[in-house]
Amino acid sequence: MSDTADGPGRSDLVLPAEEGQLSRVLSWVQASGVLADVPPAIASRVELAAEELFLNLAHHAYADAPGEVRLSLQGSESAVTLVVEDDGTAFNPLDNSAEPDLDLEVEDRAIGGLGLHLVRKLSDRQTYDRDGGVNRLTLLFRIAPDNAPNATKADNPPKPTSTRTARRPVLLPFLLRFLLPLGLILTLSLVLAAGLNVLRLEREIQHAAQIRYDSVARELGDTIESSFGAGLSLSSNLAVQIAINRRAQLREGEIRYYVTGPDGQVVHASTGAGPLPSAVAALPGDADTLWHAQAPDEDVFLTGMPLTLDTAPIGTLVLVFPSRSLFEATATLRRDIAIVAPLIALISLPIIALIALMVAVPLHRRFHHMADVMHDLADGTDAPVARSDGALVHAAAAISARLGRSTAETGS
Amino acid sequence: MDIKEYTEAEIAVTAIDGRIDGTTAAEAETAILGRLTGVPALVLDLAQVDYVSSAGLRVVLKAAKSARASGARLALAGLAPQVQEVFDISGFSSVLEIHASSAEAIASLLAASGDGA
Repeated sequence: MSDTADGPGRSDLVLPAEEGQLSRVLSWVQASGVLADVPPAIASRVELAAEELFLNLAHHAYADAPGEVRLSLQGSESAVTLVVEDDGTAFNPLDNSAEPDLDLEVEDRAIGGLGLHLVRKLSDRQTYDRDGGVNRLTLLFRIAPDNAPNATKADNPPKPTSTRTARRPVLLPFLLRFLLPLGLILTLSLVLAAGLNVLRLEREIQHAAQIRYDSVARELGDTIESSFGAGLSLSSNLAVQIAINRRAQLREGEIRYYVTGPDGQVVHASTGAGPLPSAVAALPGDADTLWHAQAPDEDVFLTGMPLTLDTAPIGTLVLVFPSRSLFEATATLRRDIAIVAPLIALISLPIIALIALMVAVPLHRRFHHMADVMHDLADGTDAPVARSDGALVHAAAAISARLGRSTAETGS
Repeated sequence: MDIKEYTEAEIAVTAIDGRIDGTTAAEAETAILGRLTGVPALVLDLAQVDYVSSAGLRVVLKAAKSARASGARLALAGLAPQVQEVFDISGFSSVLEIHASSAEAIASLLAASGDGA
């Protein structure tokens, strides 16, 4: 058992691991020269760690058998080191003890278990090693200039050294990330809406054509069916040709017609009709009502009507109405939209950019101002020091520059 | 350690002067728990306490549990920075009523009893 103080740099204490010896530990820490020049907040943490570790060993290290605890304090300018040794059972206080649940309500809290938690939190570095039957715990307490406790220090990022951080341009990323996509989306929506309208117009035209051509198809179909019923050849049926000619005079051009057999082969066609439009092949041949189709490639509308004789299908009448002017109208619309779309984009983008400038520029400036204020507050100054170009400032700068150079020269 | 007990504006106050560590905790515990049994509210004035170890925290925790059990209110007052640090790290600050000074603690307890009446 010894109690030595080897100067201000180091102090040792060896004593039995008994709870009753705590007062000796505490007075040793307080009287130790090591902590004489240490800030009181740090000294208090060192003392608390010594107490908690000593009591922990007194209670648990030797299981009622006698044993000793060796304490050592070492101080330097930047840190205090506390070393606690015992010869008891192997025990690492850094991980063997469960962290107490600090969020529990008062009723639910276990009494005890806090001491080692405090030790871990109040010291800056903890090292445990077991060396030949000796448990050695080394705690480092840093003497920080601001005396910030370990717990809060870890949460705070280091203070920036420069008063002003580099300012990043805000406007360009804003333009690229926000305005450009917005402009593109708006333009695309406009073009899409216009395109949809063209489609709707085409559908309406088709619908109108159906209403217009249904009567023609029915009239011709009835004529053909009756001539089939009478056993007359279609080419010699004047009624059909007259009906076609009359219709053609009323419409914008020549109406062609085809009569196909049940197998889809053309059995009769109007004079100079040419081959059956290819669009017909893609249509259902067995439709039992009037059908309509559009063949924009050939600028025609198609109307089909099934032909029956005593309810038995005998073929199909296909009427081909030339509709070049209608298709030209919608084609012109499409072309117009294609031309206008870039114009819309050209007009809308500058407008959006202008709005952005009006909104973003004041924000931009205000952010900078706020950032400046925050930096100044962090640096402990209320306002940035205005740079002046006065003669005194120049002289001071010159002197400090010279001093800096001469120190650098003597240093090298 | 010096323990002073007094009543101010009908609120019981126990003021401790000194350290609450492993050597003095038992004395503090006896005094605080004993005082707590007879009063509806107690202010624990720690303004003159410059050191609290886990033994001291245990005393405060026991007192808080005892207060909860008996329906009494316990308020701590005047924690020194290094003591506050220990209370913060142990998580006690969030579950205990802590005031800057005993006067504030008394005012708070009086306001609360006034609301209750």
